[in-house]
Amino acid sequence: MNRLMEIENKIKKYIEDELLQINFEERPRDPFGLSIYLFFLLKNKVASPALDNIVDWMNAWIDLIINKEKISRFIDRELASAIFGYYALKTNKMLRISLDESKLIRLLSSNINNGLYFDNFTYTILILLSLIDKRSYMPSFDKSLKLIKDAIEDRTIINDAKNLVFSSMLLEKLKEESSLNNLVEVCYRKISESDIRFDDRIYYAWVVWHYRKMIEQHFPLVRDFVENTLKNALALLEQEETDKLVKEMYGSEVKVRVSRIALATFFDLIVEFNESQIEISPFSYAYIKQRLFVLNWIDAWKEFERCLNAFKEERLSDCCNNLRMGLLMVWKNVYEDLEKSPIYISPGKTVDIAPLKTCLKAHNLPDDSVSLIERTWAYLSERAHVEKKKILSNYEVRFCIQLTFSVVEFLLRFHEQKTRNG
Amino acid sequence: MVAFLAGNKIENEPNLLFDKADSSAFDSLAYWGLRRFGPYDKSISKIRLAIICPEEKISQVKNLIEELNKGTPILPGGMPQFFRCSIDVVDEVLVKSLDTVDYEKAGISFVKKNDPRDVDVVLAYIPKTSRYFSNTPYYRLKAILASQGFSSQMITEWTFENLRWSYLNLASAIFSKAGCIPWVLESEMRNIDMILGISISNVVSYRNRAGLRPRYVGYVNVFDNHGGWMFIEGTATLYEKGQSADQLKELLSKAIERFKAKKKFLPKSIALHYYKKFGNEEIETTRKILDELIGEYSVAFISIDDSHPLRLYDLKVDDGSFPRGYYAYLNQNEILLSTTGFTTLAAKRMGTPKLLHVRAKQYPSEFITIDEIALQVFSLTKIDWATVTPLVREPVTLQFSKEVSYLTAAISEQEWQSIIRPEVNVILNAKPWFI
Repeated sequence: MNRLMEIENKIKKYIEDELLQINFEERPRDPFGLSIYLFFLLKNKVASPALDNIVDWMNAWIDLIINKEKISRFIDRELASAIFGYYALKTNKMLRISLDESKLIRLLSSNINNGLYFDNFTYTILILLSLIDKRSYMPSFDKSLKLIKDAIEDRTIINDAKNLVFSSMLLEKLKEESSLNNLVEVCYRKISESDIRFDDRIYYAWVVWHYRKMIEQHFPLVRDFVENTLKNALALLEQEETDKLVKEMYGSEVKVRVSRIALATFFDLIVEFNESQIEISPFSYAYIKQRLFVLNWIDAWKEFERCLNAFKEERLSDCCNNLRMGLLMVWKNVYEDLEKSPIYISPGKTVDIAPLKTCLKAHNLPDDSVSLIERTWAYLSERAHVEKKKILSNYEVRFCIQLTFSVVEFLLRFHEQKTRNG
Repeated sequence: MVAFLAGNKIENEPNLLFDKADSSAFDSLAYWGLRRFGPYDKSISKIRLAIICPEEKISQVKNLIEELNKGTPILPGGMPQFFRCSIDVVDEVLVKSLDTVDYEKAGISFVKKNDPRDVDVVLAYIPKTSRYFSNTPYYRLKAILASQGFSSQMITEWTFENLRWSYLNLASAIFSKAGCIPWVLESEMRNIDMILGISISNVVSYRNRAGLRPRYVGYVNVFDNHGGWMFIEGTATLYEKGQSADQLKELLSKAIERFKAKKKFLPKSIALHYYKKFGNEEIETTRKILDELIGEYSVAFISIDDSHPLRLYDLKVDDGSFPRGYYAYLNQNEILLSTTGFTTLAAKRMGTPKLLHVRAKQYPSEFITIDEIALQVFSLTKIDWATVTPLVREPVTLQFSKEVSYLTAAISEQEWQSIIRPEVNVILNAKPWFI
């Protein structure tokens, strides 16, 4: 398991352990944090007893807060959490109660001031996101939305970085492309200026990764930023090293506190990021690389390296082309070594692989093996063809990579055996 | 003969909250909370600051601001990390000498050319003087600025002598004087809606006063049940001895009305904190006023005083001090509470703890226990935004009242009238300009 997968599991366990420790019989102190956990866990299709607990609790909570109006002094966090929880459950078809909309609208109307619910951006953004389908009943929806867009325009949105994530979700849902573009640009600019505090990095990383297509031209930098952020984000859970004098004056950190919003965002991002990763068996990778270097077939190795970079940068067609070139170089070199004669492949023309196949068969490679190699070649060629460029899916190209690396390893081992014996 | 006192302790250090919309952003220590989560109020990105300073000190002051923005080993990441904002210098006024009269001139010239809506805080370098003298650059400049709606933060050569430990307190004071909330208590204080740090009959400066007889003002600092300072209200006119009942009525009416407007509910459980013992007349007057304003309510008159000779020790503790959060019952309504004794929180402490003598009288009947009052007073020691150190002796209710009373003693009649003017009051009363 690679490091990022380990981190993903660790975060998931941390969140689930925390949820299992909560006594849902009591009124929770942080219902808003719980609604954020619920949203991101459901979004990532997590299934666990901890999630079941929070789903049950949230259904009861919405009923208590909105339908029964049993609200404490913490109306801001209680109402916002019930509304966002309602959205999370409804989106995932887990809502088991019906909502009294008139009560909801009344509660909201009495808690809005100058376009902001509870005088707070975070609550306002998530309330709008949750109630987009009730937009027509909410008289100040457009006013609130304008405030959010203005905050993006004048960049004050970055004061509280978690709002970058939530407002981007809202703008996406509303199909407000120009404002969303603006927001992603703001985030990218901060990243390129290396002007982001450690605690805020996770929110910026979430936005630029989620909307990476909008800043395609900067993909390598975005990818590096996101990967570094994720690899270092566990520090959120660790105690900071501090000067002894600071501890004497201001006290030692008794227990490391971590924001549930930051943690849930971290979890969502790492799941999405890990899905975009390709993991080749370390053994195959090391063997192929070592063999190609020993044989001095370095150009072929370079093609494989290019293919992996193209995949990370989501240039999927380029990735297939690099794979195809790498495979051809290896196959051609195997032919030339075994046949002791060169073979000419004219650039730009359709490659005739018939002599390559014949060579393998002549050296006793079974027909079905040759046929698999040939089919792999065809599969790659179809996806690498510039003229036929079609939209490739991530899992399709993943399959190309796995197939090619298996074939290359197979060819190299076959070559090694033949040349050792021969 | 050995006499015994029963006692109790506050189990856990109250937590502080550092984000309005994230209740998981809390810590028991202000330093670590700010460092990890930033301030409770994350609504501003820039603080517009003006400087008033002697010419020879201007580069030193500018360096200080640069360090606040950039950060230091004690304050890594500076204000952008700890307060999610940075400082923009919008004006500078140079003072000719360290004389009070030159500071007055500089202050007047500053207020003439600036609008208080365009400047969040004025940072002024002044000579260090005793706070018991009123005709000093500190009080005169503060009064001139406040009377036109400017909140100010003073620094002296002492600030620079202890610079590395001054940064964070300075940053926190500037941030709060700009009208933002650095932190509040994470949990609400039980059985209480509103806490008033009340101060009546504060004598106004003898300078520029009409008539010979001493004249007084009253004011009240209002806190919510999270210990968050909400606003300050003062009496509109100066008064003479014997009129304090009318003034009290004016103060309480204003405080309750504004509390209701802000919180959208009428406070039903009220605590009044005062550094003196409440007199029967004050209690009766207050009750009559509350009868009129609220009807059904519960009120606790809590006096908190440290001018007694009593000391407590704990021989089981290394330094023998009575540990922080421990208290001894003197009777069912009175305790001696330690706020600066031994604690594992921080090593830096201030000698033998001076205990707080807390006394409570409740009406119409007891609605809050003396243990809850102990926790309330203890919790409020953590909300003084002028200091980030974990051990503060007095609750913020008294601390803030004390700060205003020093100021009123130095402020002229005209200046007080000006501070109370609606157009100035609307800017100032949402900022703890007096700390």
